Amino acid sequence: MACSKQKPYMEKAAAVAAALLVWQIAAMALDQKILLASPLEVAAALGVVLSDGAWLHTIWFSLLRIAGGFFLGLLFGTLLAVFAARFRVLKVLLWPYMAVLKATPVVSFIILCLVWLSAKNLSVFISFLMVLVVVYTNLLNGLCSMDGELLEMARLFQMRPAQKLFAVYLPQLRPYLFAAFEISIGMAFKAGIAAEVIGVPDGSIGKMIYNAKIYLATPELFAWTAVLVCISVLTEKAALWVLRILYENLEHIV
Amino acid sequence: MDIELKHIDFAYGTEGDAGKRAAGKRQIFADFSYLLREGEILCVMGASGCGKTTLLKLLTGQLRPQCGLIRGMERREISMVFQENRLCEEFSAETNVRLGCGRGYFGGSGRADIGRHLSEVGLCEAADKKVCSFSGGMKRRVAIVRALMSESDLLLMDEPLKELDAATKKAVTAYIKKYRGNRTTVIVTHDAKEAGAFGGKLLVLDKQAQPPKRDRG
Repeated sequence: MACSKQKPYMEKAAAVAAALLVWQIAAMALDQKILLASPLEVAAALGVVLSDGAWLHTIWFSLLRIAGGFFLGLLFGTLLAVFAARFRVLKVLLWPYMAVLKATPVVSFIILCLVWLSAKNLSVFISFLMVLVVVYTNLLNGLCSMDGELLEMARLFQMRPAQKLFAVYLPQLRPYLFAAFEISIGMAFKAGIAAEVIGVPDGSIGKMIYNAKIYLATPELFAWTAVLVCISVLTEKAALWVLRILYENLEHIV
Repeated sequence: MDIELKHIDFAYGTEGDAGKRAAGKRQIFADFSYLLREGEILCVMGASGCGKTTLLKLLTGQLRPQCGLIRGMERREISMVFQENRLCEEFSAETNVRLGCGRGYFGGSGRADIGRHLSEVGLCEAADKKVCSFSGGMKRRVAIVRALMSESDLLLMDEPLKELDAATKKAVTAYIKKYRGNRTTVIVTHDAKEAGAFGGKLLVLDKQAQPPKRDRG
């Protein structure tokens, strides 16, 4: 079946409106605010949350730590993938760690890491772990499927290392890098906030969600979740935009 | 410096070529010797699978012979037109040529001359366009300009005129002869007429190539 690509924003907006309508009808049918708050109640709770001046500080606290974990994961995932692609022994040695990271539920890591780390910085480490494994796996796949013929061309014409990076490696890694970014940013937020909900550090989004759950303040719980979804989506869009700009200007860099 | 291939044995599917081992052993060269004089043009002909491209790969060091030795390749700077164009598809024709000239421009011509060279092969309008939008023949010409403009002392060309129409073949042949300078040049071709147009020596390889069957001075 052919997929229409016309007016994707309109289609997405219509899908969101339809989902909100379904949600509103379901909430009205259930008529239990504690079990399912309606979109209007969530909007009201969101207004209350945003009217308190502390919300920016709360978002900043969580965003800073999750972004820190993301960049650390990106850095170490890239370095490990580069070395693992170059040295097979490292790829083999890293395999058990990556397999464990992929298969273990994130909550197991969070509880385990709470023993070693302060609750305040737990989300940095948990986000780092989740991003590390995604970036490592994607980039390693990309590096292992590089076009050997282009590399041979670069060797023969004695391209400089920077030219090889920008003209040969990065263009071929494009789908792997985009996939790594798309997957890992969402995962960093999910895992980071899960770590905050369990660690409950003061001034974090995770603590706000935890408190809302304790006090059965479902509209507030939904409101903070909505804030989280917005930050996650906006961060992902911004990161992909930066990556796209980088790729559009590769030729000028090289 | 001359290039000398002495008693070369090469077979695919052996220790020297692990990648194709699974496909079974296929002898390409057996006791093959040839002397390529400095500055001369050598046109290599022969049926498909007789080892024309393999000969180029042995010269570039991409493949190693199981027996024999190759002299005169030390510290050589090579530029090449590959059988597949091997261009950076997301970059313009001009950038592709510039990337091939990292060690310098042959004959002292600088970056400013790239446009002139591309014009000479009929790519004046396309110089700043992305290569991925080019036809096969246009890509071929970019690959040829890249190899010709790159500072080198050995020029290898694997079927340089493929995918070109008759008129363009003539123009590109003239371009190659004009800008190859005094570089040692090896050209692989299937077409005796093309080989004749380039001039120089002719080496015809047999299947399971033994020493050359015919050598025209």
